[in-house]
Amino acid sequence: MRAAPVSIPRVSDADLVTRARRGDPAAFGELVDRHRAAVYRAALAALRSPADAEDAAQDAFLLAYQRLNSFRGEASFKTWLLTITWHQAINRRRSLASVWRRIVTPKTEDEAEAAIAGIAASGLSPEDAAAQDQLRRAIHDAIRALTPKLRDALLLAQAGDYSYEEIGAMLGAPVGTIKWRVSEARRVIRKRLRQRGYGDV
Amino acid sequence: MNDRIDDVARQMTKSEPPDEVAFRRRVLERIDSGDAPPRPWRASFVLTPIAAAAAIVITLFVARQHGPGSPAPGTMTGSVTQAPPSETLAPRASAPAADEPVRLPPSPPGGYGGTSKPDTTNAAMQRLAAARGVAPTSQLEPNDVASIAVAPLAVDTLSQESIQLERLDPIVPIAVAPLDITDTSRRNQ
Repeated sequence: MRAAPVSIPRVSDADLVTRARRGDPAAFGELVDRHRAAVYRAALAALRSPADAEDAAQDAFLLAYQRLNSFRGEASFKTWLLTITWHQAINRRRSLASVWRRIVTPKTEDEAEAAIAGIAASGLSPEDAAAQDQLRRAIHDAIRALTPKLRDALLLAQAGDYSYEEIGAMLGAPVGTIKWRVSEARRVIRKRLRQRGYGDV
Repeated sequence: MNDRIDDVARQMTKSEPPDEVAFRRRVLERIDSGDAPPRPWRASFVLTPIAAAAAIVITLFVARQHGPGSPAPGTMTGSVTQAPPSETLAPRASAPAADEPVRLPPSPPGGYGGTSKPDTTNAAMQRLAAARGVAPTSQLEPNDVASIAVAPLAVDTLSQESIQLERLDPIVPIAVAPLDITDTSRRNQ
């Protein structure tokens, strides 16, 4: 007798994990679909390269499938998956190939910078648009110049996909520390902007 | 300004995720094929040993440049043949004859108080072999090296000057004229 199709949105992550453990590929596929965007954005926050982020996201799902039996359900599946994703992304960021690529490849304007320029230019006079664009580039450079701890906390917090608890699980720090890092990142950025002449910060 | 900072940060992570269907298919294909996530080489795991090896090579290179022929300090040049301690410190095994003068072992080159080095001359080796009653196993061949005996120090002999004191002239006694009393009394009047 064929099992009645289950309305996917009503199935919890825990049930999908149980089915995936029993060898149901569709259940794991559903988990992939649900958390694809969050996993990808977490990897992108660490790697800042869409291609590397996609590879890291695939690796994270692969590793999660292999370690499915070790998921005990103490935290949510999403938190557990994001922790795996972050570790995979950091390993890739610290890899010899990544370091070599950052040394050899000159910095080129990425999608984020293009988006920043586009947003700044909409609905403003040319002078205002140029000033806004300049400020946003300065902020962008200041964020890139942050230490990895501060930068990662700020980017993950602003990605909008993660709670502070989930960010804390990814970064291995308490919630209070994460909030402090975000606040400290903003303070350091404001200081750098003042030093560059953006006095009304 | 915090809002602007947050906005820029949000834009930095706002990239369109990969296509849902294609991404899911790739993940499931990798699971079916038994693919495992790659284990990337960490830069620190590779660069640190390379840096350590380079430092060792450079140190060895610099050490060799400072004179490969000169001996390192603290090492001894030449070979030192060790004679048994009985030869250097203790008297000879055979008791000397009653009428023979007692011969003391030669003093060490550095004099007493220094490190006692054994007498490695050929004569000493032969005495040792005779004391043991065996033929000397190694005969020191006279070498062609020039004698290392120290030449006697050429010292100028001191001329012996007379140290006899000169006789001083006798002191002439000072004669004092007697005092004339009559003149003094006449003056007082």
